[in-house]
Amino acid sequence: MQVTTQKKLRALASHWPSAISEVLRHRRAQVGFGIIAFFTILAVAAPAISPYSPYAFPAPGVPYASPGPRFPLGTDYLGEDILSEIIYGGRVSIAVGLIVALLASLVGTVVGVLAGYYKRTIDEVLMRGTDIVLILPSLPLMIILAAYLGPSLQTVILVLTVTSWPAVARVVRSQTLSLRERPFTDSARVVGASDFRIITKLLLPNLASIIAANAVLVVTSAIVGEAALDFIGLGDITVVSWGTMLYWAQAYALFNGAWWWVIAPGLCIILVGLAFVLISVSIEDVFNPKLRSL
Amino acid sequence: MAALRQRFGLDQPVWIQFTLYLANTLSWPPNFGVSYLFYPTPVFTAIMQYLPWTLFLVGVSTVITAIVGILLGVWSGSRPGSKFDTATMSISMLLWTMPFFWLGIILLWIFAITLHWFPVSGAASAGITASNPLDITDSGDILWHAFLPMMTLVIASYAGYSLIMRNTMVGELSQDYILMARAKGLRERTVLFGHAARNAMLPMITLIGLNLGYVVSGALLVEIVFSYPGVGYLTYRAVLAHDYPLLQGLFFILSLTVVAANYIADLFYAFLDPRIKY
Repeated sequence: MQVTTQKKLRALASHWPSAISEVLRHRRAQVGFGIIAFFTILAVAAPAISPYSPYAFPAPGVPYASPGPRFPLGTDYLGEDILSEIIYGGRVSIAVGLIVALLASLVGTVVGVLAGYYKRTIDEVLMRGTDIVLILPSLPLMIILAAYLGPSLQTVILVLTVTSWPAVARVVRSQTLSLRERPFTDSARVVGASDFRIITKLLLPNLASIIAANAVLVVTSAIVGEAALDFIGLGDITVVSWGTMLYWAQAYALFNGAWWWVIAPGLCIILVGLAFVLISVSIEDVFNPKLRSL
Repeated sequence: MAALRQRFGLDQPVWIQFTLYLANTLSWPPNFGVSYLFYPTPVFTAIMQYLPWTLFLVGVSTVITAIVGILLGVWSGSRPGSKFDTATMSISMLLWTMPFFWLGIILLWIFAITLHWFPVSGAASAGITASNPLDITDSGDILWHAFLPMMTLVIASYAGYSLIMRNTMVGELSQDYILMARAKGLRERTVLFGHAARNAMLPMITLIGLNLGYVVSGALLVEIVFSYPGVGYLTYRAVLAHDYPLLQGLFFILSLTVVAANYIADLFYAFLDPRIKY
């Protein structure tokens, strides 16, 4: 049993296509990828699918129209079509989530690998810095950064990256610490491989699964975080995203009974967030067989 | 204009402003400068008026969240794979990704605006001038106002506890001492709560400390939704008014609170588990 899982693991690490198909065999991952595929198609094909433009002027309908045949999800306070806003808003929310996950994983991986591989002073310095950002309450940190940088989409991406990378760095560092003590790292060093070669050829491929599982989680927290920043008014409120929809809805929807305007963007955020969590769980399941018994 | 600049010290070079700021924060009471929004109230005074309400929200809801999360974790962890376990796990995961503020808006809309069971905003009814949440004479009114914000925090954050508690419970229940306890003929409840849960509780202490930053962030958003006069609502107003001294002071105080709470959680952990030494 032990031997077969080890063999399987090694095979997974060297054959990415088979690892991906292994992940895809999980029911959870299938649901997750299904949801993401659905929203990605909506986002990419927005101009073709969307019945109206979310910025249409004059607006296509009357303000606060309930869901009906013409507007399946109703209209907002200007009479804009909510369905079109959801389709276009997904573009911003998902793009921000993916970009933040990419940047945070990049920074977190570099910091984590360097700290874990070189240990001593470099580790101390990098990890104390990581701990400081990690312990600070994230939303106040985001708010104060965003307030100084001024509301824009770039600000939102930067601010979310700043608060997201430390978690990645922590996980990558602890995994690197264990990997660098393994025999294959020693043998590479004996053969005379440079640090750069060891890190890129040996450590990174073995770290890939854990980085992927974390990156996917960052997407979820970034989508929710983007919505929160937009909701406070620190994003670009002229752009339609699921967060800015809730920002305007908070001000106008409730006292006008426009529940459809609040429900739709919230459900989209939850669905997409859940999809990425499901994928992350499946990735961990495949690469950490210990979890399977639970 | 020039006089105003001088009054706020904005005519000095940035590094002098910064050094002065740092030096001033170390005095008592800490001097974060004067708020633009509540001019001429000092930032520290303004924050101290709002902070008790946030501590009240976060404190009470953290206790409720931990109890609910731990109980659910114990129940589903004691029968892994059962219908109850699968159901609670799925619901927990769904709630885990739910944005705090969205849940707040939904609860506000159902229970305050539609059903009128709870107030729409504020921490106390008009005419009641409760200066702090521990005002006994008005505690009924205060709890009535705090109920929905607290429920929002509990529902949106209990999942973190229950998911981890469940997994630790599953691990603990497979240990030998549990078999021993069962062999002694102890009742199942004693085995679960007296033996397994006591050990599984340890990581929860650290988790409560770590979660605090998350809950504080959530509380800020929830306060904005319910117009609850805590530091979150104050932050919102400071953002709208571009009140930078107030924002910096808020960030400083909130960070200090979270770091201090983590420190206390660590000490508490060492007290509960004698194997840990610092």
